[in-house]
Amino acid sequence: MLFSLTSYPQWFDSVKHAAATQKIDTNKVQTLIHLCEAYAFSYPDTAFFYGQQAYALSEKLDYDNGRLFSIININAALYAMGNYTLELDYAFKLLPLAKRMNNIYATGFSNGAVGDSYANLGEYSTAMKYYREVLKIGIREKLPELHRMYSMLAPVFIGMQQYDSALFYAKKGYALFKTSPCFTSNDWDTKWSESAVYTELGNAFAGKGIYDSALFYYRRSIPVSEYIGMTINKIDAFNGMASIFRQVHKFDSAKWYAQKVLIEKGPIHPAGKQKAASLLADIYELQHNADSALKYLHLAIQLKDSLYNHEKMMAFQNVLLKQNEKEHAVEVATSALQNRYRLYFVISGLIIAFTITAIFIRNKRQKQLQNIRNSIAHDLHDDIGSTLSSISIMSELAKAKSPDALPLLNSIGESTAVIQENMSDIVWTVNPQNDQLENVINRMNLFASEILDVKNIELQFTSDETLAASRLTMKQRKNLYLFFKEAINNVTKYSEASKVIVSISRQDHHINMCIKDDGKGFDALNVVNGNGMNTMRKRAEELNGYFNISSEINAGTSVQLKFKIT
Amino acid sequence: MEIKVAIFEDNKLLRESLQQLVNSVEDMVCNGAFADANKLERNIQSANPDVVMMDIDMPGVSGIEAVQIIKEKFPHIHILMQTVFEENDKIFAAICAGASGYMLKKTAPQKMIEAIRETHFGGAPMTASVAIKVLQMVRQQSPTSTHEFIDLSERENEILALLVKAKSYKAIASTCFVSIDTVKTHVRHIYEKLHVHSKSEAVAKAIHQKLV
Repeated sequence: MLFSLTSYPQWFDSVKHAAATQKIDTNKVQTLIHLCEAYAFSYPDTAFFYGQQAYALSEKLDYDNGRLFSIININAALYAMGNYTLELDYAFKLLPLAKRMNNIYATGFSNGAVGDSYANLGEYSTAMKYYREVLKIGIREKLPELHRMYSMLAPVFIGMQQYDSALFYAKKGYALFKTSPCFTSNDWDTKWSESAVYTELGNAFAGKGIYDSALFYYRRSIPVSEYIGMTINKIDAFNGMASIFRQVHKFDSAKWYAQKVLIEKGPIHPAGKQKAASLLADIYELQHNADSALKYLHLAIQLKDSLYNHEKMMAFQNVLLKQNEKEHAVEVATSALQNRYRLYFVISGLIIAFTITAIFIRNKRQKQLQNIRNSIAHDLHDDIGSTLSSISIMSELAKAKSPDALPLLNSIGESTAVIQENMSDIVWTVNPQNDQLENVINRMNLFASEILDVKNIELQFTSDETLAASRLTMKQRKNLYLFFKEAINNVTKYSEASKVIVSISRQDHHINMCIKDDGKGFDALNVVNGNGMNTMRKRAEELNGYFNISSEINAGTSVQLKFKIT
Repeated sequence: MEIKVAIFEDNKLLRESLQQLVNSVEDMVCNGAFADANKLERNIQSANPDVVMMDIDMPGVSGIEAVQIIKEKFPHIHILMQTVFEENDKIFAAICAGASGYMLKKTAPQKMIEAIRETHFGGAPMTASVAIKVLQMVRQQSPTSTHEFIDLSERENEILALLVKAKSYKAIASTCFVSIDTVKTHVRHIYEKLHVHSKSEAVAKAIHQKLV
């Protein structure tokens, strides 16, 4: 852990102070964080346990500070255990948290933590990206911890095998560190910085092949690391020295330092231990000491296995975390979804209510309009009908007064009768209550019986019962009726018949009407386009139907109409 | 003796021509011509008619209401309803209220005179289409729907059936082997049975419709 909470004594003190004045619960969080911090590098699994509790409680209390510092310390423990992937997961939680807290230190911490995790995982260029952010903040805000920010770049450059840059920054950080006011103090934080910077310098020099300086700084770092219990750095330093001695073929010294790594107890830094064991195996192999080589090879494998088990355990830890997170996310999502559904329900309910009301209002208004129209039409017809009636009456009365004018007056009377009849037909046709075929047939029947009665012509009118309920459009009603009227009028005017047979039947979706009389007939072949014929043809056309007249002299006439209804 | 006729018609031209028409006939005289039925009782008392020609669609008191009042106060007077429209509900209501006959205004003037005469002598003249409608409505009454079920004799039912099939009186007469007058009498009886129910739902409904 190259960048830690403990580099910020002031901050932590203020937090401790704040914790002291807060409620019991947040105090509990603080206590747990302290515990985690305390055990992070010595008993990291215990530390992890405390850290998780601290985080869980922070979540419950929605306590951002708690969240921040519990994660930072959890990551310290995870780093110590070598669970870098989980460390990264936790580090990523810090980013949105820092944004929410809107605090330079929090932003610095979060970026540093993510950078650390990436560096640990070997993703050096990504790590560099995050470290640069931290550096930016440090430079801009002139933070006292700036020296750490420089130094921590060194291992990343080493990882990228850019040893010059690594040395440059390690030196820069160290130089700045030496000028900082806390350099001479003996507190944990300064010592920790020292332990870290010496190890980094050692690694940087070693990378450049400047072994003397490397060994110098490694040696300096070991007692400091020992002092503060920073075993990881100690192991790294030992490994560094062992590997240098191996390079220069000082195998005994190499072996000695590697052994020192292996005697460290506890689940600390398994990768470091494995490195030491592999080194020993290599050396013994070079020294042609097959047995020892094999022994350390086994150890290396064991460590790898335990590392593997360790990794399994770490994977398990990862899984647990992921599960908890998932459950939490599911809970949040479910309640969000429920809320959303509730909202949709309400909205759709409102929309439905609104639509229904709108439709209702529109229908009502339409009905009102229709009523107004109907009443206007009604009054108009009434007026016209009454006036026509009076014309009819007056022309009748005039006949008595002026017998000479009788023919003219008859014409007037007839004309008014025609208009009145037509008006009556229109009013009847337009009335939607008459749309059933039954109404049409009745009206046709009435018309025929009245007019034929006058001429003493017998009427036989039959219609199919099943037709009664069929519906016709206004257009169909009008055309059928007018066709019929025309045919009947022709019979009365020309046929001199004694009997008329009208039959209306149904064929699939077609209406079939046949009007037959026993009159004198006419030469159908010659009379192709009479006026009446035109009328009937027009009616049939408008019905999209078919009509036919067949007649023979003295054999009667038969008129047929056929059209389709739905 | 002349038949005294009173006319209720809101169209001025028609009212005046009807008046002239009635007066031109020897055995009739028009005693009063009124534009509406608002002062009905007073008008009837002054005119003292035998037959009243009543327009259905008038402003103020409706024609049907007027029929009710006349039948109540002056039961001896016969009423001949008049309208442009063949409105079933109103027709039925008018008959139920007590009108003797129902004429469409498109009827020829000669026929009108005949109708007045017939009404006076207790007939029930009706335009065939109107007659059929009324009779159809009579037929459509079910025993359970209203307590005002009209009970017709067998003969009346026969005739009713034929009438509904739009047979002319002439045709019915020949089918039933009776004279046309007999047919007309039967028809009148049917209508009289309707008259009993002057307070019927149909009347109330028609009046309500007019007011709305």
